[in-house]
Amino acid sequence: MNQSMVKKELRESLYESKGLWMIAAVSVILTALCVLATTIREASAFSQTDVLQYAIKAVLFLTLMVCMVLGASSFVAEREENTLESLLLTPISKLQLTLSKYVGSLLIGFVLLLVSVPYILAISAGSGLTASALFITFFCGLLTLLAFTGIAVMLSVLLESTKASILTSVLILLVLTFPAFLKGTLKLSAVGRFFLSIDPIACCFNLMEKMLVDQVSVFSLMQYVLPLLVFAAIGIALLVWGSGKVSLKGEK
Amino acid sequence: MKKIISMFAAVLLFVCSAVPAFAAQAPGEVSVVINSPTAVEDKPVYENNLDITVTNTTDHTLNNLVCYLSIVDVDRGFSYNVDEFGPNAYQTHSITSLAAGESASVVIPVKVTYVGQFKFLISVVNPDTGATPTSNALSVHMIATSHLNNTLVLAVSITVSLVIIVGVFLLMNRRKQLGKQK
Repeated sequence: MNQSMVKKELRESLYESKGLWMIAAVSVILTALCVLATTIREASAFSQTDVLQYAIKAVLFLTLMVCMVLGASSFVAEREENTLESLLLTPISKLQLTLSKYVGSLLIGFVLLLVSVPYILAISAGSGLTASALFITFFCGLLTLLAFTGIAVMLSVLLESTKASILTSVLILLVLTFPAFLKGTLKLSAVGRFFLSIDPIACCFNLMEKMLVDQVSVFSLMQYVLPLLVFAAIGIALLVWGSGKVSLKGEK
Repeated sequence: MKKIISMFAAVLLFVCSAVPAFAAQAPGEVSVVINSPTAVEDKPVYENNLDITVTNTTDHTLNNLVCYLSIVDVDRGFSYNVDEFGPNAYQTHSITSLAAGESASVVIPVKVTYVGQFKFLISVVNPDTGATPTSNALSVHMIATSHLNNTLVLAVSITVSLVIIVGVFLLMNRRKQLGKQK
């Protein structure tokens, strides 16, 4: 992978694509959630473990949203600004170019996960769950980042407008998040149980609950870890496949 | 005189026809008792089965009785949706048929993750009459193993976001100045 390309993509993600402001916005949202959790009466019913779970879920969701938006606009933005041609004329292969953009978006996601560390440390202080919480945040966060960012970059290669690419990426995230919020008897139905067993976000939530509430070791929870690993592999495979489709399609 | 008698007759007729309706809503068709546990004081996560005995105190068979759990948060003034306590808890438990004088056992599993003072109540609905007798309240006191340090969380969260916002402003300004110099 070309290091100067990665630096260029990171610079563009931070400055041109408003990545810095997205990081600031995520920190403000997390602060607002912390203020709500500590000041409203209803939140006093939650144990410290519950608040910690909600915080990790918020971190994961916000990080994925930001990285999917950045990834989904990576190629279409170049195409719309007529800079893709010059990139394709460089000696860098299409795969290297795609991986550079992918890593550029991933690094922003990693920065966001690092930004969440002080929040998780503060919320988990005194509970004995700090190590587990950080492990879950980074383990689930990185695996889902690898997958969803790969899908987003692939979509930016295939689709012709930024709007379509971002909307499709966000829709995929929402569709895959939906089963995790199934309630009541839907969870017990055969269809519900099947989706909950393969859905990566549901697996993240179940892993979190088992490790934080029931304090089970991660090595006993392979039924939740394997779908995450498979999903990450699928995301990267789609990215590599999509890299072969990089073209000037859509340019005038 | 005729008017007084006709009025008394009308009232008597009303009372006689109303007796079945009022009697149908009278409590005490069934007695509901939570046998165990008798009280709970523990830390989350608390898992146990509530053993309940439902006894038919009437002189006829009761059919299709429906048993369910409700939870009152005494301190906060809330009642909770029971599907917070495990996938089985939100389902009602049915007693198909209960002969006069007989008792039936019902087991409801609970998993408590909240902290505070609660009252667990078991109600039994008779869909035919609408009677809904309720059990004795089970006192549940869940003690927090650790507490959220609200001051620390507020201080850290506000500080981090301020540092990041100021840092972003400084970086963007520096970049603008570098751009102008070029």
